[in-house]
Amino acid sequence: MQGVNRFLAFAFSNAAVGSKILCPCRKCSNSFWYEASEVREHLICDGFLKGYRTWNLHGEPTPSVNHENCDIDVDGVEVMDDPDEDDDISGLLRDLAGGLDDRGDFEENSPDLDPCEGLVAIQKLVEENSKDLFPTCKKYTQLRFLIRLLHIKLLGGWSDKSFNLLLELLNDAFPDGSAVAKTFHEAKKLVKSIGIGYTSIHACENDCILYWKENIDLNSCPKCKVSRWKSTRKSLDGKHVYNVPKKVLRYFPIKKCLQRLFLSSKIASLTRWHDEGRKKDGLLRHPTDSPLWEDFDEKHPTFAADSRNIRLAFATDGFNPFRTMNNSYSIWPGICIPYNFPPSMCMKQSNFILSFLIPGKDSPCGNFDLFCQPIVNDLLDMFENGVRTYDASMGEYFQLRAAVLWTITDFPGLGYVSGSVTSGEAACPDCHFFTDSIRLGSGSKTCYMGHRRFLHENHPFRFDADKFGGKTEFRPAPKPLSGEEILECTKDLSTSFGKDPSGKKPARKKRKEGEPLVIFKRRSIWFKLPYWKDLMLRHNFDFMHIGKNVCESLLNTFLGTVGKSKDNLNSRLDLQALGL
Amino acid sequence: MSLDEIKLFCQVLKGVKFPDGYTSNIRQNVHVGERKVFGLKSHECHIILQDLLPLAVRKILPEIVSAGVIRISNFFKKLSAPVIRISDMESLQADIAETLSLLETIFLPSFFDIMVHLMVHLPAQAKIAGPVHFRSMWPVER
Repeated sequence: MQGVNRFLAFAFSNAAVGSKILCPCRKCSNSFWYEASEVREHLICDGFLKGYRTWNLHGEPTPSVNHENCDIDVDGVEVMDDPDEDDDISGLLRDLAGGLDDRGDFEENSPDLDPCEGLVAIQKLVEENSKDLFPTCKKYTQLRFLIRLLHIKLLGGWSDKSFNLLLELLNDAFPDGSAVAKTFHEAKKLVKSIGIGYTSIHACENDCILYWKENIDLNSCPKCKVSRWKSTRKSLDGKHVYNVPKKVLRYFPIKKCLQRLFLSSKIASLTRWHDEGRKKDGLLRHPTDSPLWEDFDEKHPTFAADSRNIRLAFATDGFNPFRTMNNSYSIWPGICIPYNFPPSMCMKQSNFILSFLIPGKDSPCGNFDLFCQPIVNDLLDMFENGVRTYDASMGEYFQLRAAVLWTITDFPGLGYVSGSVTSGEAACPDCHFFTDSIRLGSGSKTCYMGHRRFLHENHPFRFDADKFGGKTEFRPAPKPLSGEEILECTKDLSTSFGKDPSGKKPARKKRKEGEPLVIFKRRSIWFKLPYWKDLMLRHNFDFMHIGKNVCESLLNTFLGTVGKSKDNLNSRLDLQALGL
Repeated sequence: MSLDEIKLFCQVLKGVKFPDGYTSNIRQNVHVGERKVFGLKSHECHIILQDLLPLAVRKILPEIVSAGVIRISNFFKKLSAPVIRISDMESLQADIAETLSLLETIFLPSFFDIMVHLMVHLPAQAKIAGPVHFRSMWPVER
């Protein structure tokens, strides 16, 4: 009853035409106009229309981003057009400026970013935001109009050229005193200063070096002598000559991405969820409940002291941007996933932080670490020193620190990231030296058996020689290597990047009798992070890929798919050779 | 499996209907006439492995084989639970070792590629780092 009264009061104050409103009862479903008493009667007898939550026909603004819709779906009824409610660009700028304020004293250790530069850019944006689109236009400011245009360009997939043509037309059509950007380039330049940009770092074509830090001015790779540039191009006005690089690593500075999390007060308060909001009852529902997290907190008490410090996971995978059009192209994005948030938010795509993109026809393979250099560098700094960040939920500045807890990759990717061997004799990174493998000659495959080692000591299977090829098994289960042991294993390995320019893979040497097994190809760059060696788990085996592969091999074996079944002539021959 | 059995197997897969939003229509990928299943995406594999395979193989395969397969699918089902207990993971660990040893007596050596082997290590990792869906590549792949 109360609800009905409240609704009527709201509707009549906002959306009444004369003394009538649209009746939202189940029978009329917003199609007929009635007076107040009649609507009340209908609502009590028939009930309120189901699913009609946002009273957009009764004066409540629609929550949609595209606020032009509001004008269409309300027939003749004025909608409150509150500028704060749709884009809120001025609010965004205010927050940005808040984040940038008085950091002058802190920025001295990173000279590449002039503290004033950010502020100046913001000031320019604010200025742009205060100008009306044209003198009589009250609805759009210049900046807002431009951002909407760019958004539409993105959604519609317009080409740069068509966008330029449109801008030309708009500039022509608008009354005097308007100043929309002249070209796409100009528009992009303006919007860029909001800070969602990336840095491009040029790379050697053969993945030998990155042209950054001490190599930034080189013109050719010191190792393979290949030029850095692909071609030269003249700028639009013909005054400058640009060099076009061969390969560009796009790096999205992780520090800024993480700082941006704290600009919204809602998200900023959620970063403390793992400490304050979760249930603590010993069940594992989230990585925060895990022994690893506790262990990490114990070993790094200063890091754990502030629950706003962000724990990340690093995920990477090759994918093909051209769908099935071109099968041989793979691009490798590196993604950081913040784990501070509640489960419903944590694994959502919108909360992932894209941190770099490795282009290229070929996957980086063993040179993956080369491209990780910038992010590892930043993460190292973020763990040790932190970044001064404005927390919008508490309204204060603090040193934000971040740590990567583990990496998520598929199995070949795990080899690239961790530097361990993922095929051949010692393919399992957790069993390392004790991987139990048999080379199957005629199938030219390696198989990994000996699962009896993982049974407990007195299990009947261990003594059962008949079923298991005439052998009993008394070896204990292998333990994964600790960080210290990995460091010990990898201390002599050289880390030189680069691949053979001719595109050939280096010939594999067959291991001779008596030589030790190779289980690491190089020391992973992640060991630069001081906490990396103390982690209980560094690289995850991906559950999804394992599940998928097991399912496929089971199905194919059962169905006897030609070429995919594991039960074929070769494996029967192997069985004979093994004498089973 | 004989041809008829394969056909029966395919028919079981062909006949399933799912609630809306649970998975894509697996029936499209099953071809009874050719006795083939192909074009599966990873999530469909996930569903088949966890829910359908135990049903489909029950009557068709010899008891000892189907027992092994059902144990594997139970293993994945338990492991992918959103809330897990450490003690559960320990029992799973013992369980999967036993299952794989059992399968070693049934399947050919070539079945045991590295992916099958890695199943042994999954519960240990889950014990250390929590539920698998926070550490898997579902969202990343898309």
